[in-house]
Amino acid sequence: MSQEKVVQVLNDLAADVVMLEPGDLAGLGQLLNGLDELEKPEVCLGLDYLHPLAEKLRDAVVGIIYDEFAESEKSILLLSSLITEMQDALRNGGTSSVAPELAPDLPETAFGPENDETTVVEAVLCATPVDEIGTDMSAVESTAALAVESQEEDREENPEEDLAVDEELFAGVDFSQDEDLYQGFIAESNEHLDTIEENILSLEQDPENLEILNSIFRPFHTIKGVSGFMNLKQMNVIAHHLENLLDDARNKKFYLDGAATDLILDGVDFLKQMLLQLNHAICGGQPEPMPVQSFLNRIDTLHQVLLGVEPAQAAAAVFSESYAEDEVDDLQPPPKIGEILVREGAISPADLEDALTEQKTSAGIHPEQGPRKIGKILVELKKTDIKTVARAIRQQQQPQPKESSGGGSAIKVDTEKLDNLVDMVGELVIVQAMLKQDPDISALTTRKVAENMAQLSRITSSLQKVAMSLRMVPIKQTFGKMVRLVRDLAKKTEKEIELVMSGEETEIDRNMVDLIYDPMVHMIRNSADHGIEKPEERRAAGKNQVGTITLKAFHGGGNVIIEIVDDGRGLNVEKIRKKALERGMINEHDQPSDQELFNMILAPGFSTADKITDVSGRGVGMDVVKKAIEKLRGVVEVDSTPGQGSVVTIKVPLTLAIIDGMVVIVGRERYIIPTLNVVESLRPLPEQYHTVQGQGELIRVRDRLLPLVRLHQVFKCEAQTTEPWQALVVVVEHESEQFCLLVDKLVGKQEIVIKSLGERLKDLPGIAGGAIMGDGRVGLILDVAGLVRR
Amino acid sequence: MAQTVERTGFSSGTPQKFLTFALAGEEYGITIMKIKEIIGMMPVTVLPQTPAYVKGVINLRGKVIPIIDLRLKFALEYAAPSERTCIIVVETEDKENRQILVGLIIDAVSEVISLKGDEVEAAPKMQSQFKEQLILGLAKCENGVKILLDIDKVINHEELVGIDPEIAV
Repeated sequence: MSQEKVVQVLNDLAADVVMLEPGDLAGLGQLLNGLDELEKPEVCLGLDYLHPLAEKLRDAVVGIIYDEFAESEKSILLLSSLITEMQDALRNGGTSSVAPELAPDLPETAFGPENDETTVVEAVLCATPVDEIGTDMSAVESTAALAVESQEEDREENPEEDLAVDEELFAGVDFSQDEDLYQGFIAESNEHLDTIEENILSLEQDPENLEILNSIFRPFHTIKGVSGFMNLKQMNVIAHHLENLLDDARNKKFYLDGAATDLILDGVDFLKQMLLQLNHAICGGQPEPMPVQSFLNRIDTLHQVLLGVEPAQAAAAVFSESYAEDEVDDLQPPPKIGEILVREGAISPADLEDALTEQKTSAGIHPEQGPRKIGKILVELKKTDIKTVARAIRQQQQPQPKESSGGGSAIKVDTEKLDNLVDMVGELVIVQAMLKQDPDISALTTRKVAENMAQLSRITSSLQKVAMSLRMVPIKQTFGKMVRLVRDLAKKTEKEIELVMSGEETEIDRNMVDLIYDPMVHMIRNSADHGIEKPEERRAAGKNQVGTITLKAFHGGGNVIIEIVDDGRGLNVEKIRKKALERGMINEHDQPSDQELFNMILAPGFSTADKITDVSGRGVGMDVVKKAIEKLRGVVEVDSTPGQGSVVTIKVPLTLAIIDGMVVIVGRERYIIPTLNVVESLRPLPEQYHTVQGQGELIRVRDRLLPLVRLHQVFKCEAQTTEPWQALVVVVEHESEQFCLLVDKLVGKQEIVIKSLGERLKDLPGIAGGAIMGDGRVGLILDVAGLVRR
Repeated sequence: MAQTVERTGFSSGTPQKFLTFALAGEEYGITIMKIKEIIGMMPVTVLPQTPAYVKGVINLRGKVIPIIDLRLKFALEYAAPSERTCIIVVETEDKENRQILVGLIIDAVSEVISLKGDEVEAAPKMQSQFKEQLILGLAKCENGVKILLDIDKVINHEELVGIDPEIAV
């Protein structure tokens, strides 16, 4: 009877172990429950030989809970082999034939060389079967020695690893096999490197912040891991060395100073360069050699120098305080085990005090063992039991997986799928609207139908909102890249510049992100090079010697507004006026306002910089900015106060997919004129209409004569009316050139979703694209620029 | 015969399926591999400055696709849409190997037929405007001859933008 019960419990245990994953404390707790069951006297009556094994299993489980073993996966293997052993022992009625052979090699497989010596011995102690099943202590010693030896061996391997580095880049890697895999790796690594860049600059401000340090450490760790897996040796080695450097900084062996952050940034660049080469290699090119070894030497040299520096005493004290209690993981300063237990009421504050004292005394006696775990001490002092501690550790670790995976709830989706979804939702909205307006349906007066229709429209509109928001990403990503830029610019121009950002959460269309990057870089370069003065100049002007560039983003009136503000010297109005005169942009008698003059710097080739630096000043830049922003249907404005700095405002629509349009009718078709191009609409009087040589038609709008373009003639269709004074003209503008479009009717203004007409039709003169109208039919969007060129 | 096999990709063993349809009293066929769907006639937005056979564009569930009137494309007489008029939506590749959807206006859909290699003959040289290179072959069936179209070529052999004087009606 009892034997059957034991078999069943063991089977359950075995199943639990199979399901167990590293860090799965709930599963471990279940194992402990199973063991409790097993050790009940009525269960294992007469099966005494199982006791030592069960004890051992318990020790192993407890060890895993305490996180004593570095390689949790292997320790799980250890658990399963222990259970197998127990099952075998049960089957053979107590004479375990497997145990002796199994025992010596267990510790070796279970614990990798990463363990320090003490842990290895300890681990071997709790993993090796004790005398009862026939292993003596010498086996323990020899295994421990073995493990230590292998650890040393591993250290000696390092020089070899370095020798292999200067081989040809990516030698022996077959890209043809898994091209997608490598492409994915490149994309992912670039993202990681960007994160590092962003964070390292925050670290400079706050070198003691462990959280920031971790956010730099983690991406390197990932790159190291993946590149190793993909057999990209050189990348792996570089990432590994940088990771080591960061790890020591993490362990408070030293602080990362300016030289170190420079090195890490260089490391980021180096890895990025390697990724470029990798991409080149995937495409069949020959990668150029890179000075991997010399870079490694640089890392190592700096590492040694840093290690020589003693950390500040105060910091060391902080370290022993905060790290004495637990070392479960230091990604985020998690609540301490003791605190959790007190909060849960499992122990009293006095118990915690006792345990902490105990911890300190034992640390004083055996300083070489490092601090003991508080949970373990509490159990030893019989203040609580291991299961409670396990639960507390689980609670402590809970928020962490989310942290470390960096938004683990996010998935990557093909943009095509996303576009399809948005298309479908758009159609759903139209169908829903048509259904609602259907006379047959509106004739139905049942409440049920009305309710369901209302529900349907609620769901469709929220679905539409969600679908549209899928394309939106925070502007943070773009802002983040500027941090590095400003830092480099400050170095190059020997200035002190601080970058302040606000509104990083402001969302912007995914497609917009890349397009807005270049203009922003230009503007920031300008601010750093021309705007911000040198420190001595700033001091002389009574300003803080550290200049500030502020990046602001916010939503306003259906637009995203980005402001780049600097507190530099501001624009020189006189200089701009002179330059504008020189270039014939204004004449002597013009009295342009300051505002107008400021915006002249956006003209092509306009630069007021006295000397050309390698940063900016060639006069290209501002007009590039203007062009790029106009392409996004946005505007740029410049404002400035002499001596106090300037403000550049970039205003772009929230999304590229939607425009505001004026719907007009010509003949039987509807056309949409982008509102951005529309100046006004009017019905001219016959006397406002003029002809030139009987052909060219002009409309006099107030004091200006504007050419008339008859849309029905351009599009060769039949108009309802041909006389301008019976129809309507819409005055449109493109690059300050105005003309009148003759249309039949104005329907109104509405927001429309732009649809491409496809490759085959994209070159239609005068047509920019299509749009799905409220009735589900296609309307055509006019390309005003194309009509001008006719 | 050998030429047919090569050009149509037919092997005498495995039959291929074709959708057949009526156009100006003749029967045509398109391989069903290229056909996305068949929809009823719907209002088409006229595109200015395109050849007459480009009827315009429609909204196919959120996607704007061009519509070609096959009668006009083949320089046949224009016919006003009837109840049986359909749009066959085909998926083809353009010259840059991008997948594109194009709608073809035809008189009426007939049936799906299975054809083996030996039932198809190469198109004879004809003294007409009809461009023979657009034809995969001629299928001999019990109820007459069906003209099998190489739909990729039909759609790609001329630009949709710009007026082609030869084809424009």
